[in-house]
Amino acid sequence: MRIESDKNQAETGLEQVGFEQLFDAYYDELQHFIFFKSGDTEVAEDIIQDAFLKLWEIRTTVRVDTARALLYTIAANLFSNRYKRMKLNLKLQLTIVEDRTFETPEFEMEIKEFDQKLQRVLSGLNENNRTVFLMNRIDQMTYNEIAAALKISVKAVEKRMKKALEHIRKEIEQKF
Amino acid sequence: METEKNRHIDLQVISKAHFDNLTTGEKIETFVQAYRVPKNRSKAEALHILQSKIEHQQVEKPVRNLRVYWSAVASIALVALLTTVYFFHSKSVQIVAGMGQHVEYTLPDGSDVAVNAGSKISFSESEFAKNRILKLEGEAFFSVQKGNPFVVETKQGKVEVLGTTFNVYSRNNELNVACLTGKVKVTVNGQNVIIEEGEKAELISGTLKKTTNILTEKMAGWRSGEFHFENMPLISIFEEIERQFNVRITTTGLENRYFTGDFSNKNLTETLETVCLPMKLDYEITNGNQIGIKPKKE
Repeated sequence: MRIESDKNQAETGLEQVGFEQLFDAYYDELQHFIFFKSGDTEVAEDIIQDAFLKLWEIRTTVRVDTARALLYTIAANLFSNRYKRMKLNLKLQLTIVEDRTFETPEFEMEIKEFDQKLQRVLSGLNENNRTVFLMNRIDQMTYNEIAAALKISVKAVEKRMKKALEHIRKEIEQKF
Repeated sequence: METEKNRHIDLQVISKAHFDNLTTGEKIETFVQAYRVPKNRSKAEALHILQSKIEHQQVEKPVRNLRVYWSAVASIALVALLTTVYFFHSKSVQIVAGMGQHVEYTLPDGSDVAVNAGSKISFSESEFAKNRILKLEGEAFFSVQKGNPFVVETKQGKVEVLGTTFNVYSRNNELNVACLTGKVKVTVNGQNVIIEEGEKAELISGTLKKTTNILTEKMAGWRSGEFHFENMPLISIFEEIERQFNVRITTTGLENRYFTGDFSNKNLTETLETVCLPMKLDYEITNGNQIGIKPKKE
C-alpha cells in the first residue's frame, strides 16, 4: 500500500516514481477521506479526480515524500471551497452478506437497528473527529500516518479519537 | 485507546447470546470494522478517467498556441474562414469544426469524415497508418474504407468497425451511434453492442441499449443541414442550435423536458419557432446572437 521513499527518490520529481503508482497507493484512502467528510460517494470521487489532476499539473515541483500529505491538503481545500457544510447522512456499507441467516427475525432487526443508530451517531459527529476516527478504524491508518497526512500533531489525532469515541459511546448508550 | 480496535467480532457469524454479552464499546468496534465505503466506480475506472483528462489537457494546450499563432497571421494576411486545421506538431492532426461550421475531410486511408459544428477529431498521423484509431469530441459521420479495424474513441466509450458508414454523437454524457451500412461494434465500460444497418446504440444512464428500425438517414441528416431529434433533452437541442448558428442561448426551466422533431440550419428564427411553438416556450433575441428561452406564461 505505502510508497516507501528513500533519500534518492525524495529528491527526484514525481514522474520518475510514477504518477500511476501514487494513484494506486493513495486513491482509495483519499476517496474515503472525502467520503468521511461529505458522506457522498460522488462528491468524494469527483474531488479526488481533481486533486490528482492538480498534482499532475504541478508534478515537476512535488517531492515524492510530500506527495501524500499534499494530496490530502488539496482534497480538503477543494472540498471546503466547493461545498457548504450540510447536514450529512452517512451511508456506509455493512459487509454482512444478505443471505446470512439469523437465529431469529428479532435478532436480525436488532443488528439492523444498531447499524442505523450507529450511522446516525457517526453522521452527527464533528467532521474532524469523525474523519480521523474512520481513517483509523476503516482504513487502519496509524495515528502517525494520520498526523502526517493531515499535517497535525499526533497529540491532536489522539484528542480527536478520544472525543469521537466518547461521543459515540455516550450517544449509543442514551439511545438504547 | 488503540488496543480496543482489536476487540471486534465477526458480524457474519456472531450469535445472539454472544452479541448481547458485548459491551457498547465492543459493539461499536464490531460494526465499524464491518463498514466499507461505497463506490460508484472502481479504482481502475477512476484512473482511466483521470488519464483521459490529462491527455485532453495536453491536446488542448497546443491548440491554444496555434490560435495565437493564427491570429497573428490573420492580422497580416487577412486569412478569414479557416475551418480545417492541420496540426503537424508531434505529427498529430486535428480537424476542428468551429461554431456554425461543418467540415468534410478525407483521412489518410481514404475514409471520409464529416465533422459537425463544435466538434473535433484528432489522431496521430504515424499511428493512424498502423492502427486506424482516432478520437472524437462531439458529432461526426464516417464513411469507412474496407480494411483493418477502424476505431473511434469517445469520452464514453469506443466504436469499432471494419468498412461501413455510421454516425457518432458524443456530447455531455450522451453517446449515440447510428449505423447506416455494414456492422459497428460499440464498447462502453466493458459492455458490448453490435449494431447493423438501421440500428442504433445509445447510452442510457450507464447502460448500452440497442434500438432497431431507426431513421438512420435522418440521424446523419445534419450533413445536409437537416437535423432530426428523437426524444432528446431540450437542453441538448438548444446546445445544438448554439453550435449550428453560433449563438449564445440561456435557458430556464427546461430540465427533464424532451423534444422529438426536425429543424434545418438555414434560418435561426424559423428553427427557434419550430422548437418553441410545440414546446410552449418563449424566445427573445438580443444583440443579434444572445437568445433567452423560457416557458410561456399560462
